[in-house]
Amino acid sequence: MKICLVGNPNSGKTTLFNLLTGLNQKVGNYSGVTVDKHVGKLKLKNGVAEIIDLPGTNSIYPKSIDESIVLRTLVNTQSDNYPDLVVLVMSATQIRRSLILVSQVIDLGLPVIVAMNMIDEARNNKVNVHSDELAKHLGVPVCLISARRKIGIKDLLKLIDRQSVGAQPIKPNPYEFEHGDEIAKITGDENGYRNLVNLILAEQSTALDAAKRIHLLELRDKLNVAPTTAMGKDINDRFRTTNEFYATLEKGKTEQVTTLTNTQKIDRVLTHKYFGLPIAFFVMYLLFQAIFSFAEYPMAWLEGGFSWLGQLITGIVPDGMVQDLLVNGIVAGLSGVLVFIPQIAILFGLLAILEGTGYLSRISFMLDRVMRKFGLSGKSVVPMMSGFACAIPAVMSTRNIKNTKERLINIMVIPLLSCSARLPVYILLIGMFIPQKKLWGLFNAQGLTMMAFYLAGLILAVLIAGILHRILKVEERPVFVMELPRYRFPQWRNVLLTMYQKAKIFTVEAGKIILFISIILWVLASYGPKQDMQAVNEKYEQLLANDIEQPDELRAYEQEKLVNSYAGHIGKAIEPAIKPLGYDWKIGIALLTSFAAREVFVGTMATIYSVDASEDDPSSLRERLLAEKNPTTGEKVYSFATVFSLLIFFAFAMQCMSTLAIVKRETKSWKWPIIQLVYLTVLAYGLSFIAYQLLIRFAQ
Amino acid sequence: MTASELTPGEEGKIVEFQDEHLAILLNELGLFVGEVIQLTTRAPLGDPICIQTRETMVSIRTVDASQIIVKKLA
Repeated sequence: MKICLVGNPNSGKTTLFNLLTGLNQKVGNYSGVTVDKHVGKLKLKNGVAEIIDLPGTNSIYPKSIDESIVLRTLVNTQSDNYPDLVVLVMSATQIRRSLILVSQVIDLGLPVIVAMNMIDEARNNKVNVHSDELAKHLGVPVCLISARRKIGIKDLLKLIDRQSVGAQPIKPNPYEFEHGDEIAKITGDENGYRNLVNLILAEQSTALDAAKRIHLLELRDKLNVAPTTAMGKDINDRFRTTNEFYATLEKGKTEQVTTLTNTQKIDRVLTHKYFGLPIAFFVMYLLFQAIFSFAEYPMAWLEGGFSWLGQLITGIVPDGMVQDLLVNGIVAGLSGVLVFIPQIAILFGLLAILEGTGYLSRISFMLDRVMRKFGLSGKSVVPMMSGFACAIPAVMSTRNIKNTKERLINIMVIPLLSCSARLPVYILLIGMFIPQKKLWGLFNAQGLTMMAFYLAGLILAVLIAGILHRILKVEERPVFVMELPRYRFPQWRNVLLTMYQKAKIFTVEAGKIILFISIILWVLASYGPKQDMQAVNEKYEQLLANDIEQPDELRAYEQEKLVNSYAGHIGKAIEPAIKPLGYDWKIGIALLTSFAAREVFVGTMATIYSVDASEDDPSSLRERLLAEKNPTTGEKVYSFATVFSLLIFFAFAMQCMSTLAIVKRETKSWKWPIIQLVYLTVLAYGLSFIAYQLLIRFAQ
Repeated sequence: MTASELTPGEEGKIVEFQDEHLAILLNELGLFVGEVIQLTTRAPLGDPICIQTRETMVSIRTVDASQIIVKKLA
């Protein structure tokens, strides 16, 4: 049996889904679209039911790709997910509005159970929900529940059970309207409401073949039915019916808007004219700090764990290719994937809390005006800000943006924001030409320079967002009407499940690509043309045979191996291309290896120059680089112009395979990550080129 | 007058939506012709505004709110 959960956003649908399925759920795909499909298992008396949590929607008429899933699933009796039973989740605090969707689904002829959620809140607010009368009025069972307080869940399960054995056939009222027969003649469908929906949305109907759709479009023209007007009439009629129904129950009682609810009281502070924004900035600062610094500890533990694992394997597996592949290819690759999990889990945990309380939409509300200037909306605030910590969770968090175009713009510009992986590179390079001193006794000169690079990233991101806003054409009208849900306590179960799911999605779906590229990069850096590598191995044969620790010799060996590897050859081959940026082939090698992740740049440079240096303390590497002279001209290789150009390159280039992998996952195609890689590389190359060429002409 | 011209705390009855597409979006959130709405607050930067019905709070940009014709209630 297939059960679909259908309901408005903020109706507590997902809370109910998580309660019913717990960990018995997984995230899959709807074919052909970038919408996650949440499927779970529910044990019933006669077998296990598959339960699908459909995206939240306010009516059957979709406004976004997410919402169109509901239409596709419920209006097409042939669809893969067409349910045997629909559990309609509605909020008892928003009955009138919810009944639009409820009555639509009932009219589609689907077996329905209405789960009126948040009954505890409604009772606290002394709202009389008239559920018995409502059940009679709708002709379907109505069950009062609170998924949050676990009230009424047993009754709901009993109703589902009864429906699963087909004990109670539910017969909705036939839906009749003008010209219904003419449509039925074309579609061959006896359900009147399905026919109407198919007529209104003939262009996007998946239920009908092309010929029928053309006939319907002709009929729609002939009857002079304007889709928007017809939708409006349908929704208005439903609302009127509901109002009339409640008017007979509540004779003479008029409800006022002006009762001051708790939500309004909280909003008076949190969206206050003067305090609202500082509070929002403080909350976002905490969020940013959490991803940026709290994640450091678990990340360090993970890295430590993997290096321990590497050593363990080194001890067990005999020296040679297999050991090298295991330790430097696979374990290093896995470590590169899993090290992102703390950042992802922390960001999504905090976002789930902010969303669960209702504060997230207030942040969007307050900052919408700022983002609007760049063709974005308030919903872009959090993804853009998270991009400063790490592009991966930031790209994943764009899922909250329902507008396809705005979401795509976010994804495309997020990698321009300086993430935490750029820090080690910035620290190494900025330290090379900016002295460690205070400006005006207050500001640290190196810190200010770094801030300038952060700002440059932000400015460029915003400019490119504005440009993309003009070029991208998407058949979706921008919608900036947003519900501000009531303040509620966050649901810990939802928070933990979100963290778990996001970490899993990244590990499984992006992890495959990342591991694959890691291994390729490992092969490039450890293997080379036979004669070259053989010469290196022979030269250091004695050293390798010896068990005595000789760190300097070993470093020299690593250096020669890298220089003679395929990566080394590629670095030399691309030298003519990067020469105009002021780079030599050694930097070329580091650019190639740091495609795995930006911070790898520091490690590769240390290997190339045979220096013992770490990301945390690159001072010895810095000195070595500054001492490097061009053998033919005798000039410094790392001139101010070269270092500055390198900084610009790292600020803007797409040097992160993990981001590309997650963009592929989030857009469900290779098109966008490839466009992104190309445009960012061109941009970084162009800007570095201009900077270098100007600097060598005018600054020296 | 339009919904965007209400001052915070003022209520108005919706008379007409001047944009059909926007009307549907707002309808689905429970804002219909004949319903009473209250402008509860403006965002700190003056835009968007927050409109409340008896069931829902909605954030809407001033430019869109000016498409909602209301009759101010005393």
